Amino acid sequence: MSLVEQSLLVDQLYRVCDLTQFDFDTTAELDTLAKPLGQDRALEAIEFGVDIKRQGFNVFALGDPGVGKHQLVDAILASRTTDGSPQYDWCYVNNFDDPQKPLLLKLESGMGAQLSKDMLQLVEDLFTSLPSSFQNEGYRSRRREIEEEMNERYEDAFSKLDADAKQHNIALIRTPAGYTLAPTVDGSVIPPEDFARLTPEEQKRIEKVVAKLQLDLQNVVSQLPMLKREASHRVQELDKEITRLTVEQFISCLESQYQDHSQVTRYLTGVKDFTIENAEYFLPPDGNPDVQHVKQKARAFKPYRVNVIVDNTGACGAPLVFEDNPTYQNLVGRVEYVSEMGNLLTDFTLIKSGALHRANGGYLVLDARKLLGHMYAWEGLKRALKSAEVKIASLQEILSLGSTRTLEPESIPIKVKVILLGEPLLYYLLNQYDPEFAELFNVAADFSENTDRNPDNQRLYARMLATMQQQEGMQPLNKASVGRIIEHASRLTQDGAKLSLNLESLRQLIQEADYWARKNSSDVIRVDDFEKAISSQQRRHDRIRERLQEQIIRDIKLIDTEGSKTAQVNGLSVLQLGDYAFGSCARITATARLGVGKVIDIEREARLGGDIHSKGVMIISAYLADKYARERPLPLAASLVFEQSYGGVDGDSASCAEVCVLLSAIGGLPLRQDLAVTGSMNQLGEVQAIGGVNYKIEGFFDICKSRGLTGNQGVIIPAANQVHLMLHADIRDAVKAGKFHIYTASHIEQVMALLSGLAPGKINKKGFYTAGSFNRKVCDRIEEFQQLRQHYGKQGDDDREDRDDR
Amino acid sequence: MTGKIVMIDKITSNDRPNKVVVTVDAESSLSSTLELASALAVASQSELHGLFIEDRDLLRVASLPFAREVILASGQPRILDNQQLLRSFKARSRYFRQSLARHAQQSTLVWTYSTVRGDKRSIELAKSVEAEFLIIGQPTDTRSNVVNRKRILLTNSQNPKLYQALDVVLENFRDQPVELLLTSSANVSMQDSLRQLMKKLENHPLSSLVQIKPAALVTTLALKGPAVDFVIASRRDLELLEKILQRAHCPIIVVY
Repeated sequence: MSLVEQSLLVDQLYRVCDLTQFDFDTTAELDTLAKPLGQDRALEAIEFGVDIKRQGFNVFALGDPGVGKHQLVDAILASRTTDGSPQYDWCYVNNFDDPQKPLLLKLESGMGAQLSKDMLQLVEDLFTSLPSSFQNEGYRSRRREIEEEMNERYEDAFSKLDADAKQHNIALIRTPAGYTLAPTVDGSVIPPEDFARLTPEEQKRIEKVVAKLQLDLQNVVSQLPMLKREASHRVQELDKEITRLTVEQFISCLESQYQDHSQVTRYLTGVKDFTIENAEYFLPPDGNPDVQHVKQKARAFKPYRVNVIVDNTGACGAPLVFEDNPTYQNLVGRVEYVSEMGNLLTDFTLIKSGALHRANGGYLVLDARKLLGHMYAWEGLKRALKSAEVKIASLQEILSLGSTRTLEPESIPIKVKVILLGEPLLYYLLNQYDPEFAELFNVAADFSENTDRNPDNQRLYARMLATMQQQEGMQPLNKASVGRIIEHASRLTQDGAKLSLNLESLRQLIQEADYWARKNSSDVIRVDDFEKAISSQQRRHDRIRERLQEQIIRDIKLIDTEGSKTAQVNGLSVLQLGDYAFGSCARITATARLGVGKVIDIEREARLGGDIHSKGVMIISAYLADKYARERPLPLAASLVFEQSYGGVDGDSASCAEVCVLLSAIGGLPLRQDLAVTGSMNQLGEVQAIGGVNYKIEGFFDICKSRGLTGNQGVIIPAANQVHLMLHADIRDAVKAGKFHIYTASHIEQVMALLSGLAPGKINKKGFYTAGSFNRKVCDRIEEFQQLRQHYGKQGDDDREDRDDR
Repeated sequence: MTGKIVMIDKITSNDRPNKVVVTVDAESSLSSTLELASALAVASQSELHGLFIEDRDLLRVASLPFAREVILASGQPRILDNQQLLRSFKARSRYFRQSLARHAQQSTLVWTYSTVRGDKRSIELAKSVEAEFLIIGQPTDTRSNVVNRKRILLTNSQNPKLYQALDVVLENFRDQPVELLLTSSANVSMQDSLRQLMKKLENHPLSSLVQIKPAALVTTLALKGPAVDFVIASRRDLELLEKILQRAHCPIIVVY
């Protein structure tokens, strides 16, 4: 095959979009796309996952960033959230039996807020009515009756005792701690000396009387606490009776209002009993009713509050929740605390809902990367999905980090469909390493990053661009710019037969083109606007590429683009900096010497070479051994290196260049420096496709162009990469003018022939290649190495014999 | 200032210095008595004199061989020992003196203090002629007043000092419901005084004025029925005052 035959024509370098297939002038005339282009597989999966009601059929939408996962999920779910399915409000209320365990109420949507309002009104009513009931004259007189009755009973007992004592001339006298009894004479206590003068009989009589009266006194005094207790009980009963009368009239109204909700009526019974037992909460401390601040006091009164954690008032279908910050507590809810006097306090009003609560009965969309990035969020989500209920508990509790007593709210049953959005890598990692993942996320919606470039898809692509343009309110794209965008979409995939579905990067470019169109007062986006957008975007990212190229032009980084040199070849590489990639050139050199058939990869030895590159070098060794030393050992050692490379090398796309430079070093064959080579190779010498072919060609072209195109320069690429070519216009122009050449090769011998200018030659019956061919030169040189090896081998044997003789 | 022990042998009615005397014994309730005494001293710009009475009768009882006291808190008897009683008097007297000093200092009053041993009633009657206002501390009422309202008993006479004392008492219970029990008699014209009282009571919510006959005084002060919180009486009606001293279970303000 001649060089001319291997050189590609300009038409083969770029797949132009045929504009005649479009029957519109601008995208304003096109209908929008109802469903996304090229994502049928993902669409079907999401629709299936959303519709199936079985547990575990949650969806993982996997795809590269920018392929429109979020938009598609949003569009599908939006149609499901207006189905009018019944929704519920979820509330926590005080558990009067055990305040640590708040009660859960499930109510029809809107009823939670109504109950909350009704309870607030009830508290206001109690604050107003109960003090009035206790100020009522009827209550006061009944209370006074109890008090007076108790006092009377006490007084009667004392009076009787006092009268008995007086009959015996004994006085009842108050002491610092109680009472005592003393004999009297004329109303005065008998002096001790007078008492001593009494006859012993009289003294004994008095002592006996005093002893008896003392027993009576003990009885009377003992009655006092019991009387007080009885009075207190009777007053409490009276208070309850008065409270019950007031409370029942309010509660019965609420009970009839919520008679169909047994949970609420049970709760109201608790409210009633609690109020009757604790009427003092509603009574002002000074006894004066404070009607002016009733509203304020009612709001501050917590036991009767209704904490509506999920309020679906006005909702007409299943809820759709996008949780942007999926922390553990944002998912499962939290119990907050308030600081009072240095202590952290909480109650049921401080229970806050999580995304799972809000999405109950509907859909919850989460970003998988964010979810996995938050401690225990993934575990919390799995636990909720597996148990079909959400238990609000702090991480401290879950991890048993402390034993502080806190609230234990009743768990909420949930029925929620979770849609995770994430990159494919995350999906596969979770699948591999988390056994529960497959159980909970049965549906994978796999988003494609590209689609086939055929006429039908190109027309759909135009409509997709129209959709984007109309949704974003951008200027319409004219037909030519649509064609240019389609070509660019192929270029983004590095494949002329594909179209990129990375809508986000396209959207950004079109927005930028829209900016330039508007700046030029154009009512449509033209090709120039789009080109300007591309070049501006490139310029913003181009600093590093310019610096690298400058170093080559200034011969700081050594790259020859003319002449021929032995053991030196131009390889091509791609540098990826974020979302920007560009091609560059690297000099690869080799040395060959007498050895034992080992090719030394210096990159590998210096730990700068990746595994794939090492694999490529091993393939080269195998190829050389098979080709030139099938029946005897390869008597040489060779070294390969990427010159001036300090950041590591990986990939096998330099295999072809490395074989050629090794052959050059072995055979002493000069290689053309005006050509650069890319392509991987198998053990049989077949050239295989590589990635980033466009960037690589453009990288070498830019260097040659800067130095001045000679007309001989070009790039050798694998034949399989021809379909991927979507080269820039300046290269196409140079090729068209015969100033630059793109050669394709399917076998390494074609590459070597192009680089050395020598034919591979044919092997004759004696096993020799055609004279003058590069294979003959390499074989001859290997033969020389064999002889040298034999010579040194024999000499070595003689030396050993001499040593043995000695 | 230091207190001194003064022995009172007889009641004298000499010059009455401008002072308020507060008498207490071992059983008296201190806080309400002292609060009222210092308020009266401030109102009348008088010196405050505290007198602790060591009750002779009680000491006599404690000297009897079979003396026992029944403790109110437990209902159980214990030996009433003379030495122990004296220690109790001493402790109580010290506490009274400290409380008096604190009240007087808070109101920047001149104060004196003394302790006396003798017949309690005789000493109280004697002191009532020595001071403009005598406040007699009485044992605490064991009854609980369930209704939150102050009950003040006022023995009516033409003595304007009574109303001055009442004024001070009412001021102490501003914004509290007050029930004023007023003894009325045919020989006293009350029209002006009543009018003034009614005006005073306007400041007290849910207050009432009840007139009672002097004959009903004993029943009112009896342990039956709701407790009376203060009694304001005149020294001039000695017979009535004696009855009050015997029956009252609350601080008594005696005006000369």
